[in-house]
Amino acid sequence: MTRPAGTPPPSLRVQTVLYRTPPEAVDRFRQAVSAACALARRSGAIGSATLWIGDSSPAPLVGAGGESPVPVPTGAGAPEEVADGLDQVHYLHFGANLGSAGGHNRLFRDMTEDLVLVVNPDTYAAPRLVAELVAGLADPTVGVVEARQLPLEHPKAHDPETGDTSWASGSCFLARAQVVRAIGGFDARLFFLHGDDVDFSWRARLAGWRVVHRPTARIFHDKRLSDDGVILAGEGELEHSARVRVLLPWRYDRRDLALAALAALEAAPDELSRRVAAELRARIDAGDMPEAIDHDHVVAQFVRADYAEHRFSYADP
Amino acid sequence: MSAFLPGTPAADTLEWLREVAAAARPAAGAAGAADAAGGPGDAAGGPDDAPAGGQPGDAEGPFLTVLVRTQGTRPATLEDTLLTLAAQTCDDFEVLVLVHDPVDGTLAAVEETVGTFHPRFAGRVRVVAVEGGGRSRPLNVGARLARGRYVAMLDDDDLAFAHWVASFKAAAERARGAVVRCCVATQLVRALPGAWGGTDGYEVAGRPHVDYPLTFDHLDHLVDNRTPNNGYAVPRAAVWDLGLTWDESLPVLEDWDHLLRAASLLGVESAATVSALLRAWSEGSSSKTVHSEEVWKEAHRLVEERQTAAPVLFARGAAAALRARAARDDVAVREHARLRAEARHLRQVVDLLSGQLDEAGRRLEAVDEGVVALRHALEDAEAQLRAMRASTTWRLGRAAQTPLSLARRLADSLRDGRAGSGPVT
Repeated sequence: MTRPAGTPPPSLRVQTVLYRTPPEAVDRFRQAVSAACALARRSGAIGSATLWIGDSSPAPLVGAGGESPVPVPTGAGAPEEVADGLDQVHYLHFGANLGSAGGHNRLFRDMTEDLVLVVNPDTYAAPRLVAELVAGLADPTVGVVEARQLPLEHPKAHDPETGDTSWASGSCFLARAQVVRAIGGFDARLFFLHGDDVDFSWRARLAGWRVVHRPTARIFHDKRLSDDGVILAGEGELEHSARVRVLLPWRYDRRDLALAALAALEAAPDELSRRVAAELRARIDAGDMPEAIDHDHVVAQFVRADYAEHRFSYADP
Repeated sequence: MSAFLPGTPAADTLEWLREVAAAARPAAGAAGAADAAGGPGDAAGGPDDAPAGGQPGDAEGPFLTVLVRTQGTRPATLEDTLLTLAAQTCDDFEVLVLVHDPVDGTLAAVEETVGTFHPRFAGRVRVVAVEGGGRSRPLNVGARLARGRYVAMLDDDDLAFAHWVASFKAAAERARGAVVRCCVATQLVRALPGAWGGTDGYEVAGRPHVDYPLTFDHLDHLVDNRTPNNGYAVPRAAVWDLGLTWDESLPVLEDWDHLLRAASLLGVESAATVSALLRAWSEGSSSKTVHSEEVWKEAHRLVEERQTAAPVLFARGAAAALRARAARDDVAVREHARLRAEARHLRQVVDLLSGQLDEAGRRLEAVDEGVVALRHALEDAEAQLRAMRASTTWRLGRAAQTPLSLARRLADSLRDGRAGSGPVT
């Protein structure tokens, strides 16, 4: 990120939303974020750095619950990383499962920083993650920078020269705070767990910002393979993913695709798909579907079952 | 698999294994192999150095030492590899980054990369320069310096899933002292020289495939290598006490050779989960592309030869597996014999039919000849008829000529044996 001489480096907030995340996983996550922030601070890429942990779990993970931010005292458990990379760590138990979109929106409310790193708790930040992502914002037209995931890279295509890509995965992206404010964060009314990042990116692009992929910004995302090489996904992920297949084209004025996806869900052999289909059919009948945007299809991309051109598919034989 | 030789006093087992191991050590006389068996002689530790981690079962050491083999020439992929290690759900391991024949600056660059990680990971990583020797030298050096109870390997373009170490550890707890094995997926990647801000990058070019079996089958492994080097770990003590070093004379397939010898000595416990990724480079540098097909074939032959020459021990249950295979082979043999008999019978049928076909052909030829002759006679008769009808005499004396002509033609036909072949009007 280039800035005029004499301007202080941008402040950063890192925020993540937990749901029944094991404490040791949170600790590992925090260590990695701390090291990445420390390196970025030493290089002058960022100034202050704060970690916000929101928790949608039924019971609080750390300290007291409630709506008030609970600063985790420096030195609690892992003093060196808190002292080195992070100025403060805040923990906020939501008292309800807000989902990924709702949780991040709740955390956005208190945002005063220049930049925000949205990142999953089942990740481990590479040391250069933050510095590389901030470098991706050197071009003032770039609003969102996405990291490269390991060990299973996202198959979404990007321009090899500019990094431009259709959308940024919410597993890990850095956004300018002004982008978040301009578009109002995630659409938590429409999206709970999946599709919120696609919608966020497309609305950012509609607002004039570019979304880019940066391969040198690495993030480990704990995805695993089944015995036959398929990415393992929980039932919740599958359910929300199915819902998004209808909601996203509906929102982006492709009602034809939305209805085709709905018909496919209704005809699917599994109970989960049919349950989601019934729910969506009821919403359509009740007139409870989102208002369409992007009428000229400037940003939205629907390529087979994906929301961008893909270099390959994890569903390939 | 259960523990090897259950109920046998450990010391006796070890002594017995030493004797068996002597037969399975890297081939004497092979370049570098003898050195490797005795310990690497330069760089990090002389030949007389004791292993760094103390005795087998050393309670002070971590569960695992991960030997990361690199030449320091692929910083992008090495950083990826280290990241996947830092992210392990089980941190009961240390890492040795073994920089083989480093050139100016590479060692420092690797150390700098390691130093950027959080101290809780970086503090468990040592960077070691390894000079000389073959492709396996870093592994032998690393095993000598290791403090872990087990040693596992990663090349600098390999990746581990978050449960790689945990899966090894769980398997080792189920079968103490055995080789532990996980399943490795393969993913195609494409080199992108200079694409990452001037440095070499790469991109994934396809989904991962699980081409290797989920669990270890010793018999299958005798045929071909079905466990890449990042798919197994061996007890560190076995490396030095049992001579289970890597053969430095092998340019490739040193992992296959090593695993087969280890499996015979210690047995293999499968983690039965996909917990590592092997990169297959469509372009760029890897052992697959650096070494020729001939080198691979020759290494394959050498490993096979060694396995043939050495006594091979199979784990419990192998007898049943062998019986099942033998039974399958027996069925196959019987089926083969049946098919051979059927083939003989069919050949006889074919011969018979062939003879009949020849005869039919000959008869058909004769018939054909008759048909041709008749056709010629018909043509002659038609020509004569046309000529006769065209003549003035015919036209003038048609009524008188017809009976005479017919009588003549009939007489000619009867004389030539062509009765009925000519026109009748």
